[in-house]
Amino acid sequence: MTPLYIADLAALREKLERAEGEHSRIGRVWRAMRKAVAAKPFDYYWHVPFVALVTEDSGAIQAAKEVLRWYVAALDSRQYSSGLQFHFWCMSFPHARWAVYFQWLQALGAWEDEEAKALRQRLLDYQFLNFFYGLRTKPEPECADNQTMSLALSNALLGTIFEGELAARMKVDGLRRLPDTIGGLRSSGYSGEGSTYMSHVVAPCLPFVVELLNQHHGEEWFSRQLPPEGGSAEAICRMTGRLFMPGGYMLPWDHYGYITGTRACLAYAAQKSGDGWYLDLLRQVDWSHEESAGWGLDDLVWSLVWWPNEEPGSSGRAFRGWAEPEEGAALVSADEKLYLLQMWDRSEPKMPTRQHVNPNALILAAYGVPLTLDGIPIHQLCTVFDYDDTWRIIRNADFAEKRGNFGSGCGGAHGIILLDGWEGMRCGSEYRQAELLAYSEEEQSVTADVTPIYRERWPDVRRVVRRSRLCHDRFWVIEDLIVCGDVHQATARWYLREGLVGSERGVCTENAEGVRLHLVPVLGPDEKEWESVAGYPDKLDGRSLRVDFHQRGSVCRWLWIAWPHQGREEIEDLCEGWRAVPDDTGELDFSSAREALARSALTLPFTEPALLVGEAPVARTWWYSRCVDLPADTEIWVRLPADLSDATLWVDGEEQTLEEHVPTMRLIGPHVEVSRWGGKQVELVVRTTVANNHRLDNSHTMAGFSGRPALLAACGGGGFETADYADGVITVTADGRDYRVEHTLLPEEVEHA
Amino acid sequence: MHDNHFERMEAVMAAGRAGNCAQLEEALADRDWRIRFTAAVAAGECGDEGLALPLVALIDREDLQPLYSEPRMSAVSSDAASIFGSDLEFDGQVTDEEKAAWQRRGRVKQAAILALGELGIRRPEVLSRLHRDLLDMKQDYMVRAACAKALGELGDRGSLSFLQQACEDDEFCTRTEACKAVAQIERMSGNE
Repeated sequence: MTPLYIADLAALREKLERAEGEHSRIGRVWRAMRKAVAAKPFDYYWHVPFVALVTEDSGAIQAAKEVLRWYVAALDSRQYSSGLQFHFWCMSFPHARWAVYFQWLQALGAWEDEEAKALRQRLLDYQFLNFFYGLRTKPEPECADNQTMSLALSNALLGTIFEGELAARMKVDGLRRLPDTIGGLRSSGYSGEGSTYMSHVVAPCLPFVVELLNQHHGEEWFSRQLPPEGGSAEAICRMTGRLFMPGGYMLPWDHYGYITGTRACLAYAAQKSGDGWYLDLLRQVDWSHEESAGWGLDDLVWSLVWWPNEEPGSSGRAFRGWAEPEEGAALVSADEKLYLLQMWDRSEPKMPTRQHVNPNALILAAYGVPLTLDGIPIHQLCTVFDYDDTWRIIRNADFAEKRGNFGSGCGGAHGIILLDGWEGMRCGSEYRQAELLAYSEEEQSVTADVTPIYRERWPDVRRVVRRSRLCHDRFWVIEDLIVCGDVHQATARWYLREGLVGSERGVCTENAEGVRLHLVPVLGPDEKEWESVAGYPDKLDGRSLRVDFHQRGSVCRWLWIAWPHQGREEIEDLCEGWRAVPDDTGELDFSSAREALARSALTLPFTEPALLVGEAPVARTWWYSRCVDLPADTEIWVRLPADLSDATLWVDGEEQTLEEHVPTMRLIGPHVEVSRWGGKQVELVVRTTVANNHRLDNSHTMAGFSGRPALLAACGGGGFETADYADGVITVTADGRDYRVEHTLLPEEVEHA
Repeated sequence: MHDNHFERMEAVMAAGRAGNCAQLEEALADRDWRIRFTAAVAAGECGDEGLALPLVALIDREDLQPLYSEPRMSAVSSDAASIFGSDLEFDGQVTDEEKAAWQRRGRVKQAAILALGELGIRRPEVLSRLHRDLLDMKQDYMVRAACAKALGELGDRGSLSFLQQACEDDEFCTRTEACKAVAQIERMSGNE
């Protein structure tokens, strides 16, 4: 019997052995996974079946069997859970993988016949009673989303793995519907639901779907464009990759906001397409912990499975520009430090929840950190999006009714043009909401027309267009044009990172990482107001600065200069040379840890958890220390890795709270100011929790950290001075020099070809 | 005689494929909801119009059960529970019937309703139940959506007003199936 999805087990073993010998990325992941499972199999239970399959270690096999028994035993009580009743799709994809893991153990000959029969029957009837039923709930073919894909896959998969009447019946529906779950996505590959559902459900599910279709039909489905919308697996993989931004996190497009992403689908795409870009991208993202993938914790397992046996050559860069006529376009500087996304994808009519109203909204990032914000609010803290016209009655699955507000999906919650102050802006019906007018990678320019979504409410609106340009690979020029038959109040709304800095024109912010954004209208009024919005978004700083620029007229135009400035520079790399001490039981205090560190012979990089970077034991808590000489008479910061959990820093024996950096440090390494120790040599001590424990009662299920610690100092000089527009030329004085950009304004009338 | 519910489910599904209506009719009245669910799924595919009334009777019996009442229960910790979720302890007052009702919620009704649509029988007692459940906001949306889909397949113009109301349902699946059903009935009427 061949283990499902692993056509050549010997080749997989050889790939992992070779990678481990080469200390490559997947080699280090595999080694860490193997060691963790050997030490604590039931803590790392999502990884146990894979380790058992690859190593055939008897201990791992016994542990994997025990985990499968526990999984099946838990199905009885799960049948009563509200989670199963109301969100059955979340259970279906994990169920499919546990069925695969059961089959792997069967392929190893690990089960006695009687036990295998009992487990098989329970896996099957649970599937039939819950997920066959669930799939039949979803309209065919209209439902093409993460939920339907999960349900169709689980039916097709269990129907394939097992035999019998129920299995055969489920296989028919599951296999029939799988192509629709790919083809129902737009040809761009974007699901419209945002990075979370793309990267954490659709993308992890996709390789299982494609491989099953390949196996069943005996032909290749990866690149095939499918009806009804023209989606393809390849396009979905490509879009999933495009959702990553420089810095390694994912776009806050539509629902949920900035997040870290999964890796397995990109490894699969590299294997299927032979395009080295996917591996270039994977070298830039966080591998330090498991990600929730399809409501399970085995993204690393499948990353190793799908990783190509022969790695394609590098494409030269991980982040590059792109445009999709139905969705948006990205402009990326040659050094990958400046990033702009302009989005105009479909929003959901009437009650936009996941597919937000974001016509021509911009995401700007520079030097690895976001400058603008999008996402969802912390509802307990943030009520600014509870607009009067966006209340609705929500009927829960238990039939209880409550009032809810969907304003955070509407126009007012996004960096767009608002007309006459309508913050609850949304579509009332289905129509084409936007059009890409021009995109040039060479000229680093994109223009999109979003008139229809405004014209629905105001029939006199003739044009609402935004053009974005990346100029001199150094700054952005953004033009907004609103042309109407009547006079309207236009508001250009921006959601920026907090940190308002005094500025004569426009607005200037400096975020927690010292990156400044000067946003200056060189054409159009500078009449503005700003407000700090606590609780929006729920990611990064957990707050934002909302800036509204206003003008009134039948023709309104702004020409913006958006100038990013990196206020801090790296003066010393602190990645290497940290003494390390494991503290699995968490019994060390600072004093005893410091003594242990002084005695420790274990020296590690402080860039990823110990298990990934060196010969280290499996332990939940780790202490690190190293000495550093701090320069005098300048502002200085220590940058730590991102995503440290329960972390504390001591500088020269003095505890520094990292509280103010939560939740930003989930995605971005915190900068801790240490200027007052300038001129001294100090010891840095860090304690952090890295336990990669999969248990449900553990708050550190996905703990890990990743990044390059460094000593930073304030940059001297440079930055933005002035900007003007005259006679078709933008002149910007900054960084001690003049930048000149020819810019022809957008025409007020629609151009006809 | 099968005492293993899985094997009985398998046998019922096989009976449906073989067109053994007597066995399916018996299974539609089984004490075990899992058998009834399987029988309802199989009934739609066996194509025997004689199963319409047993399916209606099944819907009526389901309506007498506390399908949507969550029983009182509490979680019990264990080593396995920390991996795959808690074991449960029910309040002593909770009956097996109440537990089974919560386990299945609208599953059996959904399967019966879809089967009625697949069988294509426009009997008044079928239509009246589907019209009622389609607009009953105290039914799971899985049941309401199944009603819409079945009514589209039955193609009775008398269903249009009910379906048009359901086109305004907040819930996506129900709304989508209802709008499809309206279009389907209009199309079928045009062809008649």
